[in-house]
Amino acid sequence: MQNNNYKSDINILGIETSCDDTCAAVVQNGSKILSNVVASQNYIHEKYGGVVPELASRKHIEVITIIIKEALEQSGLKLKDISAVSVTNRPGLVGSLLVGVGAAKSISYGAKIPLVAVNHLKAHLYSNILINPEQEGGFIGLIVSGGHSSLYVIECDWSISEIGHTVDDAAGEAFDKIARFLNLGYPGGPVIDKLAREGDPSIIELPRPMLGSGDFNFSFSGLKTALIYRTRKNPEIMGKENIPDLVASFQESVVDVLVEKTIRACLEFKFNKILVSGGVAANSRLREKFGIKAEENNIEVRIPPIPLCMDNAAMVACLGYHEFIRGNFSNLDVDVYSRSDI
Amino acid sequence: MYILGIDSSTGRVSVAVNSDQQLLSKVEYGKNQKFMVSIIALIDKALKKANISLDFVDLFAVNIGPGDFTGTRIGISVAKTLAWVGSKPICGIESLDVAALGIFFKNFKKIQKPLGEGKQIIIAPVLDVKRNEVYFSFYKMEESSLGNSKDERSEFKVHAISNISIQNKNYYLNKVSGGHLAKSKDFTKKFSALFVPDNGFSSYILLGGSAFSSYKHLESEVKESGGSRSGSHLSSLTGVDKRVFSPDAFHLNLCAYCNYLNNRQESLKKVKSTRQGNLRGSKAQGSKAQNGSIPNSDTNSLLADYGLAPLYVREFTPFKT
Repeated sequence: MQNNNYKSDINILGIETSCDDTCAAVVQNGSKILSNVVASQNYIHEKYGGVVPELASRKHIEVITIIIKEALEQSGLKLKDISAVSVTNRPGLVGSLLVGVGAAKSISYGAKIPLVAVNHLKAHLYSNILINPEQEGGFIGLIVSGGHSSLYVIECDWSISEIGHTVDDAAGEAFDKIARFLNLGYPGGPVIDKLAREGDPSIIELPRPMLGSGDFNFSFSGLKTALIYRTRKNPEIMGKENIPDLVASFQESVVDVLVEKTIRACLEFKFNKILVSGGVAANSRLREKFGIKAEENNIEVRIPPIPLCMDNAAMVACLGYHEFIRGNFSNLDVDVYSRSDI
Repeated sequence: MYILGIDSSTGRVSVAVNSDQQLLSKVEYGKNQKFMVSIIALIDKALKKANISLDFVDLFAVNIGPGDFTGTRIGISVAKTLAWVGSKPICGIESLDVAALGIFFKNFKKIQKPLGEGKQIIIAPVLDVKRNEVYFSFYKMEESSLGNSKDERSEFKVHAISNISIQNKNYYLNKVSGGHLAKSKDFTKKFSALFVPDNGFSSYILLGGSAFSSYKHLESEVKESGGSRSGSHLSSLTGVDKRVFSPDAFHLNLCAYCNYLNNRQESLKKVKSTRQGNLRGSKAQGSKAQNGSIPNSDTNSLLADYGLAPLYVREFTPFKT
């Protein structure tokens, strides 16, 4: 995958503002992370129990230059050492994307370096390349976050096609909504993950949605409703001592479906490697269960360290590096898109 | 001094290059153009027309609203980053200031008569900020002969948003109030209540701005309110400019230039204290970054680094809580 036509190092500045985190990073030669700065906005959105797009965009505007400057300073490089600027331009919240793309275009125009606009989802899959640059052979890719829950086939040449996606809520979205319903705080993922460790998932039984659907799609909206109806029927399970059991069985249900379907896809497409990324890939139970199931089926599962699972700019810079090598530059009239195929 | 101004706060983009107060080039794109697609090309076009390259720009100016959410954001993001890349100062100007200057230019002939009669000229831009609300402010105009003083700049008034030299006269536009928000149906009432003329009938009030084309009833209300007891001072002393016009990057540049001159002395004095402030700010940010958040105050003190005031837009409440 490496191309040695270039004598000196290729340093890519990555910018990522697709949702509520303002991120900038500098990555050398596609795998050496020189800096990776993330400014989270959780403290702004927590009182609403979810990301408020307008507030997110405003915060991006305030911090964007500071974060880019910080990433450059931490990398020890100057702007003149940067070979290209890579930015997420799809898919995501349009208002948020505009801030990052505006900044990236200006850097490209002002510093006279190429612009590489990349797909956020593709960048998530590339976060695995960042850790292990020598990735060969086909994969099944799972991206599971607050905005996406999708399965992909990644061929040997890294051409990617989607084989399944969520038909309603994303897994992370379901975590947030359940956390909000139970007044556990925001973001829901880490809170439920922590609480569930003290709970027993076998006490309260919840369905495993779309496990037998025969395709590779997901659905988490019904599971959420099932949990809410269960609490209406037995209000006592909302009691403080029962909450860990309740969220543990909710988490177990989500994890079961995700792991089971991903493994099934891997077997069906006759691959033996799985790449997982996205915010929900930080869930400890998901990581654990993937480990167990992978061993049973003799499959290798690769999940990047938690900071690289979440939204970050290092993965954007990594994908930017590979597009740079391929000569896939973007024009300065590139637009942003709220929805996009990979 | 070359100034590049970007105004994308109104649903259209206007980019202008000034040399001090003189306009070198101006490029505009009308409605229905996608900002993000065209903005860099537009900047490039304006620079080429002015016959300079980006490296020659000494000051960046940008309209920071209130205005079109998406447009304003794109303008700020682009201007801030361009300024950072070139290590140049940047100046954020409110849309009311730009509008006030626009009204002044459009009605320059109209105000000559009351000015000759020794009347105080008040310019009040009234902007339509949607959801049936208008946003307005008051600007006092002052005139002085272009003296032989070598350093005209030292005469800058503290609150002057702009200084314009036309035909041997210097015109200063002074901001005399902050922005006020009113429901369009209560506008006349609120305007009359807020506007108290210095002494009787010595003022000439000139209103203008996008609100008058959006809310047709405003013009007649302003005119009629002369008959009612409460707003008698608005009567025939009021002029209304109901022409549609949008903020212009040339006016933006004039404001930015004045702002720069006004602040130059002050900011030189402040350099020392600001540096300390920034150091504290970045330190705090470093420790907080591990927790994954950047506190508000530090962000603002760091923004001072770029000479940009925090984004000023109307208080935003996503949900009624």
